[in-house]
Amino acid sequence: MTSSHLPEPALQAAAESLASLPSAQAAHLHACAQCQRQVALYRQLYVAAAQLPPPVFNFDLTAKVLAQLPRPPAKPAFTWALGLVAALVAGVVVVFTLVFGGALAQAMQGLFTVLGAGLGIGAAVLLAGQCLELVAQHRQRMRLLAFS
Amino acid sequence: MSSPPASLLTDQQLVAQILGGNAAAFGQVVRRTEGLVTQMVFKMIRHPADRPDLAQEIYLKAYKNLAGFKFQAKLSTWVGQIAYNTCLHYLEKKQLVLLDPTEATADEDAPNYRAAPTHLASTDADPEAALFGRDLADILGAAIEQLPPLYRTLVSLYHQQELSYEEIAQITSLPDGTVKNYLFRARKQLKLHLLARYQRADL
Repeated sequence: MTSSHLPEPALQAAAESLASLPSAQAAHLHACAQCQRQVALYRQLYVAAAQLPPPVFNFDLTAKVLAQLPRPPAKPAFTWALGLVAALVAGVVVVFTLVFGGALAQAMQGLFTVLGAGLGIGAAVLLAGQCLELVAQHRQRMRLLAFS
Repeated sequence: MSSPPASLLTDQQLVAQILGGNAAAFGQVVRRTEGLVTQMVFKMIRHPADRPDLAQEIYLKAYKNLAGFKFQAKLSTWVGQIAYNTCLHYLEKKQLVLLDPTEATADEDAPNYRAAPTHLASTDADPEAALFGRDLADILGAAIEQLPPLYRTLVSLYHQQELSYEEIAQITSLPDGTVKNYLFRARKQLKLHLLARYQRADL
């Protein structure tokens, strides 16, 4: 038997499981009544702690929480009505295209011509502006070089 | 085919049901974790009037953040983390301390093992037998209430909720070693408290 008693952590560990003790400490415990009392006290403490009544709220926590959850977005009452409206709209578009399709195509063709010309002129103006800017920058650099 | 009752669903199935729009399934999450959350709220928060609101806030946070739960831990551990952090935030807001720094460093023999206290070594009385006949639960309950909030929480998580050191470490974000060390100190304080009661009663 070792002269000194088991340290506190070993006493606590032994109270949980004797198998956790190194053999020398286990041998000491086997022979030492005082350490056995300490272990027994810890064991009793653990058992009593595990048996303490758990705290409880004096209301139904589950019901309270569920009552506060944000509600999911409500589904439309007549989902089939939405489908019907969508089908009607699609039908109107198809009929309109069949009846007025030719005239519509001609109108769009004219519109595309005007749009194309407008875009071309715009691009030419931008290009010309860029060229003038480059020429102006070049001339300024030449002037600075001439006086340096 | 009918789906299994909510109490039999795995964490994954339960979360999938809730995210799929079945908010009522969240009731099962509350029922599964109510013991843990209530225990934590009661141990960390001294002011009884604040506990119900905090408990509900914990679950509302869990519900809102459920889509972010990645199943890296058990669902109960994740809810426990939310409970711990919510209570911690409450304590910070109220400028209350979870563990006095002097408490955390005061002890003693946690890093280095030491023999039992000499006054215990010299007694021939059997404290176990002496305490056995008394209302140990009452004495212990009162002793636990006198511990710092963090120690109270750790003792209840380990000894009452029967969580492992690893699960407690996950919930509290404390290192495993720190959890063990704090639990060691808490138990030792409880033992000394019980012995002091025994010796007082014996006079």
